[in-house]
Amino acid sequence: MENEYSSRLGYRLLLAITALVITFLIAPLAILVIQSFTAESYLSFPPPSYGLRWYANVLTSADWQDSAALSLLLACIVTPCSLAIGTMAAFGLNRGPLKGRQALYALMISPMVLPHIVLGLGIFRIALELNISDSMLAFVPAHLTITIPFVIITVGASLQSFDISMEEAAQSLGASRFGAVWHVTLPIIRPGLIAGAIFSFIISFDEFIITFFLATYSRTLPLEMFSTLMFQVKPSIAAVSSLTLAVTAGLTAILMFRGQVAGESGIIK
Amino acid sequence: MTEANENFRAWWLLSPTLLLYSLTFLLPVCLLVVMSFAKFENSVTSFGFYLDNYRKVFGDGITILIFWRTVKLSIYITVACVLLGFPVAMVMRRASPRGRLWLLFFIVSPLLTSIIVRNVAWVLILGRSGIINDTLREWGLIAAPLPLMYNTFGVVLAVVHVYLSFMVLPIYGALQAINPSTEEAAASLGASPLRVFWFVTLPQSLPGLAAGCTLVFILSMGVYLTPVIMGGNFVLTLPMLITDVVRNQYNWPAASAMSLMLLAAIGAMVLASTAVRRFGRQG
Amino acid sequence: MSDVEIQSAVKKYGRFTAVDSLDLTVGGGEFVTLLGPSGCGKTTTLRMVGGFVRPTSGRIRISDIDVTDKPPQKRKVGFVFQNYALFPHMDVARNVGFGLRMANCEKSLREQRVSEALSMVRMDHLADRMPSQLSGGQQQRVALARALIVQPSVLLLDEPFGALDKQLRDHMRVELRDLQKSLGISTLFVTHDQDEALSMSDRIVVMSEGKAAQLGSPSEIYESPNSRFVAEFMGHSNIFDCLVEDVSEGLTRISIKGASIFARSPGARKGSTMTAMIRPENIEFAESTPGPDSSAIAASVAGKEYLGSIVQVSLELEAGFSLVARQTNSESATTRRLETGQNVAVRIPPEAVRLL
Ligand SMILES: Nc1ncnc2c1ncn2[C@@H]1O[C@H](COP(=O)(O)OP(=O)(O)O)[C@@H](O)[C@H]1O
Ligand SMILES: [Mg+2]
Repeated sequence: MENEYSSRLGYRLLLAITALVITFLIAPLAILVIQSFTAESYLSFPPPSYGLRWYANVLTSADWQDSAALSLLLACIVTPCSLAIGTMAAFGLNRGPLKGRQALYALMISPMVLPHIVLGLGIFRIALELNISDSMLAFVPAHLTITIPFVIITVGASLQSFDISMEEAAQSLGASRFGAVWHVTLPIIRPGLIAGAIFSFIISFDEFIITFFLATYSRTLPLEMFSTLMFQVKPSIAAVSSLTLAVTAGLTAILMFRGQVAGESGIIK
Repeated sequence: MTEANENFRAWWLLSPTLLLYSLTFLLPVCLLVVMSFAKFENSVTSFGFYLDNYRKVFGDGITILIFWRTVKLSIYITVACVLLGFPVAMVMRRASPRGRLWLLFFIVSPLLTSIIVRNVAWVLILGRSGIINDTLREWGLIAAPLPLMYNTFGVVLAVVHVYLSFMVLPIYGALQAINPSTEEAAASLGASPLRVFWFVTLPQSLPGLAAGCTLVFILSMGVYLTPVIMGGNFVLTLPMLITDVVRNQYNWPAASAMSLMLLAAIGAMVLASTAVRRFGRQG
Repeated sequence: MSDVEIQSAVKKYGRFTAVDSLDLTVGGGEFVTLLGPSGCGKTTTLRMVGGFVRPTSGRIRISDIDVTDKPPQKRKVGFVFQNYALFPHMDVARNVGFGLRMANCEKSLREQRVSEALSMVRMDHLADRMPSQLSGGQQQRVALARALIVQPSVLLLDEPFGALDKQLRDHMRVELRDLQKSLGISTLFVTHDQDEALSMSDRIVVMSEGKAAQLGSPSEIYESPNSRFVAEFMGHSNIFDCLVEDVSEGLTRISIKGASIFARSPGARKGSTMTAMIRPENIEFAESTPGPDSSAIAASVAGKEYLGSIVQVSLELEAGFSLVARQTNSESATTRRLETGQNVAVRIPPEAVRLL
């Protein structure tokens, strides 16, 4: 109810719940970041003294360096591939006079709803058969499988609101079909492309369970964090978490400031 | 441009994805189905059509128990997400454009924050020597630490934290699509605000609610990391069991059968949600 | 007895005033139209009566009861929204029955009244359709039935025909007006379409920038607009600034850009500047060139527009302004024979000129 006579009490209650939920979502992360700046050798809140000790520790540790490098490398390979393949698929779904487009779309985004544990199990088995399980040859396709649906959704949503007559206009002005897409369509749907790229990067960077199955000796950052966490909760884990948070928060901020909040990027649907 | 030509172009554009999926998604799933009917004896897998695995999964008493626990856990998580998420979506809808952007930021940003980082945050808060237990002990309110983690409560809390966005966004999307005039029409026909919500707003938001519930339920059924971190071995779920059976016992056939059990539960949820959506359309 | 009374209602959005101390009384089953250009505050006014917008100041009374502080559900008004706002998840019968359900009306009685209401709008055969399966006109009728079933003291309609095509719109006009008359329900209607307002209303309020510019019967509004704004909005084409040169024996001599014209319009003061409105259909055509002593004015034909039942000619006067003349398209109409560029003499009878 949006009229000016609607119940104040009911709305206040909703506001209170919302405030609580926001606190619930944000507070743990804020506490985590604060704790990561402790100068002690143990975690407590609020920390008795502050310092960058654990950041220094983490940034100079070979284990953390290696795993972060692997995760970054992986995400940097996955993101452009995911964007290219996913965008092609989104165009194919949007433009083709295909029968059963709906079913095809459902198939294309279904890795999203398939539990990753099942996906991971299956991919692990195939990788074992091909003898590539602990390598980029397995990691990259596995990550692509879960990132591409996000690109298809974000780019697909942009394409849906894109007025195709603009592309036709470009063609009538002499652009080739590909030229029209390159010079007109892609720049206009750029927000969707950016959203797709950011989702791909973050999902790959954060992926755990599939890599967990595949990796024997390789350690991505989430795997390293997991094994550290299982062993002992040390301040170093808070520092690594905060650094990871900074990377993803930075990318999220780009997503928001580009006006590409969930609504327009199609994630709501 | 002929239609055949267009068709060819579309398939060409889709081909990289289809090729990838067939290797990393379709083939693996088929393989799991085949393996679930294989036999596993003395660490040797022999293919064929045996029902041993399913007999074991349904008959050993333990697997089915863990399955139902996973379902129950997922239901708790889904219900908690609805109770927390619906009010937020309602506030988002009524907020000023600026306020809405902020709320959206708070809701979307967790979606983009590392899951393991968020779990770490909860460990620091709920753990035996986490903030809450430390503080309470310092104040002398408790002698021994409260069991806030390594139980259902801790798992539900942390998973809700991870998946709440997946509930809020579809509900918000559905609420946005509601024509506010329908609510005004109801009010001018004598409906009190509560009845407007019940008879007009809620039914129209059912598609979003169903989508959110489906998404959260499915994700919760398959979640591995958070229960392991927050529940340890005290809250054993089906994904944990599957992982254990594969990684430690190399019993692929049993794990495959359990995976299909998981998929069946998810399929059932999708069907139920489709039914709800159809009901929502027809009134 | 009045069904709706708007007493110096004001609505401000921040520093912007959407409705500016508007007064209006509607009662006795009359049909009153709020007419004005887009953004002039019609919808805001209607929504204040409906209870969706709270006036910044002023009072709203319905059936002689002050409802300013009451929410919509306590007002007993029938509101028909621009986009109909049918409940998409309920079929036609449940949409129409909603108000009775809210009034906790017993089921059998409810069903009976729903079928009565539906047959009133000739929709009884579609009672179990969903709104998405109805055409625009059918949705319109359902919205009307839904608003009327609770027997509201006033019917409020916000541009209800905006989404319909022209033919259906003309048809629905008649249908709504007949229904409204037979029920004798006081109605406040919002539109930006002059034809719609003129053909349907008992009284019209022309609004401009949140204020009532003029209130009157359709013929008053059309024939005697009280301001240049109203005249222009009602579609008059010949509107000019003029100087009153002489006032005598009921006849006023005015000058438009130096051309002297007589007007039979009382209340002018010599030497004042006024607005003159010349009705296009009263302009006469004289012999091809005016003699020195005739009252005719020399002009040339600048353009001719054939509009079916009428022919419209734009004339360029020697004095340096243009004038539109209109004649019904009969065999004898002079305008039929005129060619672009041709020189003609026109006569403007005093009755054709109105001073505002
Ligand atoms: N909720 C609002 N907030 C700010 N301005 C508004 C609001 N509602 C209406 N207005 C402004 O008030 C003016 C009148 O609006 P409205 O009554 O809808 O006009 P009409 O129905 O005559 O086209 C418009 O300029 C509009 O922009
Ligand atoms: Mg309006």
